[in-house]
Amino acid sequence: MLQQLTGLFKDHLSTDPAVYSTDKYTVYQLTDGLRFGIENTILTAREVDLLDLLAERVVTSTSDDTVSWRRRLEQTHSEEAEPFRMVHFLFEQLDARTGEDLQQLLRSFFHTPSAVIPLTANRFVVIEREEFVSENDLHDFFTALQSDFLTDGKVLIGQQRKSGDLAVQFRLEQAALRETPLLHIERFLPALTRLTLLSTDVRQELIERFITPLEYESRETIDAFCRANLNVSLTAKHLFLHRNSLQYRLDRLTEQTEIDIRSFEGASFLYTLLRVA
Amino acid sequence: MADIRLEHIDKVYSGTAKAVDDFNLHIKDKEFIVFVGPSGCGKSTTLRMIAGLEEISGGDFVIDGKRMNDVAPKDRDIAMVFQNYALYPHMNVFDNMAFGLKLRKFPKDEIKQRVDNAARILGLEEYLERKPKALSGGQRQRVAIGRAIVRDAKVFLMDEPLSNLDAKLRVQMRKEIIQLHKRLETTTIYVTHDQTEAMTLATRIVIMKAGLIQQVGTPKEVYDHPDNMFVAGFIGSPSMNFLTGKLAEDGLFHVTGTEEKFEVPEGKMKVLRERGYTSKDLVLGIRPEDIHAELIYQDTKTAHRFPAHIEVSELMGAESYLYSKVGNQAFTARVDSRSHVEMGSDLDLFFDMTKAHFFDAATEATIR
Repeated sequence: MLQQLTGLFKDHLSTDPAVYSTDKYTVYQLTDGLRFGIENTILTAREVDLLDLLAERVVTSTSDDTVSWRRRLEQTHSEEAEPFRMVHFLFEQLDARTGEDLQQLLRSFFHTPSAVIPLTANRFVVIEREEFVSENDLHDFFTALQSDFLTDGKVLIGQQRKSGDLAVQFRLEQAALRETPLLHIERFLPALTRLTLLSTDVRQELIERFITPLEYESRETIDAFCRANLNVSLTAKHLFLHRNSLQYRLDRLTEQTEIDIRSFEGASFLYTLLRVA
Repeated sequence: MADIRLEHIDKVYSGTAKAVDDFNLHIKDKEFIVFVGPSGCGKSTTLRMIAGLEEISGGDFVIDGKRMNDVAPKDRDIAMVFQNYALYPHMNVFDNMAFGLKLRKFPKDEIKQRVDNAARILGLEEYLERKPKALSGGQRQRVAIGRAIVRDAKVFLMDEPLSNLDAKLRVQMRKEIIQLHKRLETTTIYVTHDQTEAMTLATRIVIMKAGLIQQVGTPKEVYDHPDNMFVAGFIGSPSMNFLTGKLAEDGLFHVTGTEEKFEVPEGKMKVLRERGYTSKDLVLGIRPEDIHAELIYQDTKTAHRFPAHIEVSELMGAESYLYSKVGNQAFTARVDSRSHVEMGSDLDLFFDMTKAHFFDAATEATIR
């Protein structure tokens, strides 16, 4: 499709971010993630309507803060030293004005100093720091929003991290949002467990992030703990360990992965990943 | 004013059977229409198509003569109340109700006037400053309804709005919704799986099963004159009893697998004979309240006496449910609690055959 569009718009279309990342261009993203910009001066209103049907319009002109966050998300790696969590929103059918209203609503709902970052005309990510809204509140909020905007969509509540690579986390969670059929509100781990089985690219990234850094002992612990139905005494017996030693290993594992292996969701995620690694 | 027409509406999800199949309905202005049916019957899908949350696969959806299929949801002038209370947790009651109007860029004083008016109607004046967390379930649901009222939309859509409330509150809210509709007279489409809600709220009920409309009618029509066994069994609690059997040459209904014969009143007999049902498989339907225990019925010509062995009896207070069998076909009688008997006892029950319904055993359609 990009080829055909280039044929139509010729020099007015650019795929170079250095060229299109100014407010002289309207930027679009195709379903495969490829972005291109078209000069505003030659776009007619009708063409904009048509392009909106073919691709997602990327929101570009925003505050400095948003721009700097977006830049970090687009990098290969971007370490964040403070605790954070991302909440991802994807809506259907949003026009530009509704998109602005929605952004305002998101800003009023999340605690400061959260950042609301529009990614495309109907895709937003909120980066929460310091304070995190409860899942129940998020659920209520999203349902209320649906009845006001009469639009369907999905939300992915990301993993709460103490610190870590913001860019990698963002890519994984966006992949989960894009590729798994979420039911309105879904948490990171169940969505990611499903994605582990579906997508080879994401699987590799997940294995590298969660499994590769683990030594043999930790892998053995995940396996034994899940086989014993998350029963600590039974696992300790199987591994010929004292209960307290196992508790220590589980704590260390949770610290390393930032995933609570004592929860069903955490255990099933790590177990699935270990099995496919 | 809202006159709604749904003409040959279909909903097809890729690769599956039709979720809604050739749905036809004309909803007149001010009507309170209830879609009712078991889970997966297509009632919510139809409502969501009207709201614009689902695309319409085929057919025309028309409001006041204007085709709405391709009109954006927010431009359809429709307000929707969802099952979960759908309130913004970070806003107080006033702001929650005002938000939809702010979005539509209403002037401030008009917003205030509309919210105050809705709050008065719903008895929420004292709570305008409160956040949703500080409200009870019923109050929250009232705010959710208030959010729809202030919009002054042409049509209200309600998707199981009471299903999250406890039984007592549900009865109270039901009453309030009836009063509200009487006052506002807004055309309303309400979805529920609860047949009691359907019976008490509706001007007309639409009963659905597997994507197909089974019957459309007033509560009394669908209760007294069901079109088929599904409607007969779905509407009414406890549900209608069904006994399979045959109409013999002797003019009696022989219950399958027993010696039991029920005399069929003349009028009904005539219809059955005319339709050619002599010696064919039939289903007799009779509502629990049309089976009596009072001895006064033994002198009634049209009541069939059946010596029943009561397997289970439930005393409900004013009435009593007696569970028994004809052969191996179970039935329930709903009798006055003065006729209550203990489990395991024997009792003569009288089937009021003038109230009996007959269905074709193969097509399950009512024979009339």
